Amino acid sequence: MPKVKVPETPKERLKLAKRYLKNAKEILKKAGVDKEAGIYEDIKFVSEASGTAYILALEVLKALFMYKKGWDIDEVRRRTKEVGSYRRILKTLPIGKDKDVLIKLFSSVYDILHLGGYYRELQNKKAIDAGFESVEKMIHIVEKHINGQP
Amino acid sequence: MPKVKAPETPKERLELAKRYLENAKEDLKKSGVIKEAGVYKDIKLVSRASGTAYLASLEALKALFLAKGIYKDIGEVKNRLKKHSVYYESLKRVMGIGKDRDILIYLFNSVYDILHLGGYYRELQNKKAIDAGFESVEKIIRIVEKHINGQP
Repeated sequence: MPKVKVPETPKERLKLAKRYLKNAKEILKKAGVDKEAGIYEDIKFVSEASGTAYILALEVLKALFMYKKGWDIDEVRRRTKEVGSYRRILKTLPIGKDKDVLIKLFSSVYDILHLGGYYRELQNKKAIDAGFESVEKMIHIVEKHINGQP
Repeated sequence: MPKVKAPETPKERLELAKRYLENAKEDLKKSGVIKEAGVYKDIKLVSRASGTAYLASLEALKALFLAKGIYKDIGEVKNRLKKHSVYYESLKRVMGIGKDRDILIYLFNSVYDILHLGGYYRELQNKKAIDAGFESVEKIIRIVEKHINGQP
């Protein structure tokens, strides 16, 4: 038996997301900033931090799907094998205006952090920071919806 | 003969860059903002504005290449600069601008990724990211302006 239990409830998943965020922020700090060019300096750290922050956006959405759809973590995993499936599932959730906000935020995170920071060596500080800010907003929204859950 | 003369000198090219940027800013203003999500609303206008601002950065770099003698005239510029990687290669050949060359490369990277790939192609709407792209274009124009001053 593995010693560390896989997070199974929405709250545990959200906790995991917050751990990712803390890690990602620490990594980003290490990258250093070139003020004149307005960029994070070390692409290795920018890429790692962006990748981690993107993963946490996925965790946040998984938590929301578990809570709203009543799926267990295995079902969530089965249903979310590509980025398109996150969007498709998001569109079916009955959470009012937050649904559209989450879709927009997730788009920002995907484009800035996953494609930009992680894959394409995007180093622009304000853009990367905007990606991180979008992830944090996602956490706040999802937290609001699953509060009171285990 | 066409009535509007194509801009041929570095200064004229830089003026063109500024006009593009002004147009782009007007488009962006019209697009409106969704505050909760931190995004520009109308993707059609974001895309057009991003595309135009990206062109502004290309024109500014063309002005620099002309001023620094990387290419002898605008005809050669047009002939050579047929894909975006050639801008990087040309930038690396610009001499006598010190650290600004590296800064320009970084700024152009930001502009390409945020405005060309993001805003123009991929429907990136994030306000802060798009604004950072615009700010980078402005910085490119300012740096180029500094270096071509005194040129026709």
